[in-house]
Amino acid sequence: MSRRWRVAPDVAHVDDVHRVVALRLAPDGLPRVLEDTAAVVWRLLADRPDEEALLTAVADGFGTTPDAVRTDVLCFLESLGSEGLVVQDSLS
Amino acid sequence: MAEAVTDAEAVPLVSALVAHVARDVGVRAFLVKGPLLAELGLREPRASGDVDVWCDPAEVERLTAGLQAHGWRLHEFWPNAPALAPKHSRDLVHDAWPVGIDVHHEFPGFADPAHSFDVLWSRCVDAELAHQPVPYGDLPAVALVQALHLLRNPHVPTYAHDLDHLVDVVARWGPDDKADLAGLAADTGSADTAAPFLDRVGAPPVGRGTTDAAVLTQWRMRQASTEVPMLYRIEELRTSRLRDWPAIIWRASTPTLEDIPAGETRGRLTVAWIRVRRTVRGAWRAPRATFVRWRSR
Repeated sequence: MSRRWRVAPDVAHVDDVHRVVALRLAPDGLPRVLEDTAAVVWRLLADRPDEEALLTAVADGFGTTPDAVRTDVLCFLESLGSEGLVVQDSLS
Repeated sequence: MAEAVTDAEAVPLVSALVAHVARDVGVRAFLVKGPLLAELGLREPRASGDVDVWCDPAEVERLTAGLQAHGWRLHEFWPNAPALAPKHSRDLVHDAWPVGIDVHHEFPGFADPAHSFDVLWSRCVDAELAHQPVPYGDLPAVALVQALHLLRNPHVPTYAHDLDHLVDVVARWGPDDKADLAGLAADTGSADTAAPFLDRVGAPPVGRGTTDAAVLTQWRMRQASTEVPMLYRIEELRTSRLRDWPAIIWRASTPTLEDIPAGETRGRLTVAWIRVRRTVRGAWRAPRATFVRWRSR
């Protein structure tokens, strides 16, 4: 079973090409700055790719394989998920 | 600990937050000015210094409380303001953000805040900022609000420049749109206050001469007060008993952030000297302010 990651519906975000700033619209929400690879991953979420497609897109951008980026990217997404900035849907 | 963001990043994010909080607490509120002005072509692109929201005047407390629950706190930028200086908004600040929020319960230039709000709210649509829906006026409403904002400070060069730009754009509208704009001004009691703008864009003169004299005097005083800072102080003295004058002058001489920036401390002698300097400067400016007050009638 694969997963699909997307930006949480209650998250505002801006992108000025150099970096992304995201804000969860919750009482304890604070601006979260995403730069470099983090910003690249965030932008790819706009197309709501499934996990494998996301890993392939990230890997292509850095000239490597999906397996080489898998751990870092998934850890990053889990961390964003714990902050409520992204959510995941299960795909059967 | 929050990460530092720029004004250009903060304004759309905080705008989205304000719209979200208003929806959450069930308060009608729409954004005014801000980056959407540039998207509509009514202003040249420029980072705004704060987020302005016009709220149902009866619900200001509820929206303010909602924002306070998100860590925003009320801030008084002019603690020794003259008692008669009109306050049209509440200012909120937050340590994590470089911009503030102005919650307007009225907007200078519109005669009846509650009625004007209802009329403008009925024309609001959901625009998008930072990938979130934010209520914003339609094109004539946005143009009218912006025109009144700029006409309030006609002596400030950037305001005059922005007004020229706005006039250039709106003057190219068709007759139906200009009639809609004029009708909206009449309906919101701003046909007279916005007249210099409406005339320049060629809008029909609808509803002129209907504004209450006291409202017009207040409007002219607001316009003049940016150039004549003593104006409201003079008005406060003029309408007070002589025995209250020392207290008013003492309050007026209180050092402001301009005299002593936040975080700095000064000795008692320095503060006393600042008080003397402010009082002398006020006395020097008083004749001109008196004249401008008389002319504002």
